[in-house]
Amino acid sequence: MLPTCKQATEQLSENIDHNIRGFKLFKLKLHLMMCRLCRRYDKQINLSAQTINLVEPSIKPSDSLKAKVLHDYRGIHQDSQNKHK
Amino acid sequence: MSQSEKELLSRLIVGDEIVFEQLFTQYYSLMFSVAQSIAGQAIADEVIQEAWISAMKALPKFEGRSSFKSWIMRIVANEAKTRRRKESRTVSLESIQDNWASDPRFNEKSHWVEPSSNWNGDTPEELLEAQELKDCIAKNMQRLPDNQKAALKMRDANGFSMDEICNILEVTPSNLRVLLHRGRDQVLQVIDHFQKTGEC
Repeated sequence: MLPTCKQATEQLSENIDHNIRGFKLFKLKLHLMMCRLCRRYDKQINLSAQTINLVEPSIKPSDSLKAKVLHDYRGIHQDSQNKHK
Repeated sequence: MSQSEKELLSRLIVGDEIVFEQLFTQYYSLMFSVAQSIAGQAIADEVIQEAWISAMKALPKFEGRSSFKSWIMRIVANEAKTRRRKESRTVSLESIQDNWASDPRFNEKSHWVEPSSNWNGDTPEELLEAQELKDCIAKNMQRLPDNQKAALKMRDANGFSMDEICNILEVTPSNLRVLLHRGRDQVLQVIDHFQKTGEC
């Protein structure tokens, strides 16, 4: 049986990460041949995944965390220098 | 490991604080997503701090079998798992509340009733010419469930392999596929809504 549109959308996303093969691919292709809405979805889900790369929301560390971690780093470096002396 | 990464790491070992700050700032966002998805937002910063301590202590022994980014993400994930065990926090895929099973875009036979529209723009750059859309996607990505957000950031924004993400987030390949599909589909719906209405 061919996949439903909902199943096809899931498989199209899966196909971005690893190529679907064999009979599953054959059935998906057959579905796509008959369904222009899923063909459109195929194009758009790929475009959406590429877009995420360009808009990844970046969170900045707080100044206090930055200061703490830098302090830790200095301490570790100091310890390692003392060990070598 | 690339030559430039080797150079950076050797400077890190000799105590170069500028390089340290640069790497800390560069990886913070992704480390936060990983820590948040495993241990929760409340202790994510503590997890990151502990992870950097562990990483800097272990750095001289780092053999470069993976990239530094991948290595440090595994450390933050391990740190987060340890903290999660201590805090007895459990996270499961089932805890994600969404309406996937009753998605109104599909009918009872799981075929389209409300498909996406035709979009103006064939490339991400063309789509993102509208700054409002860029802001809208970023805002909506922040609202995704923690593990979807972490999976998307690692896979689509940072190019981690599926195996690496499964190891780091402790999810099965099939669960990871679900997380990625739902996250991408949410982004697709945000773009589609913007294309239809011009609004976020």
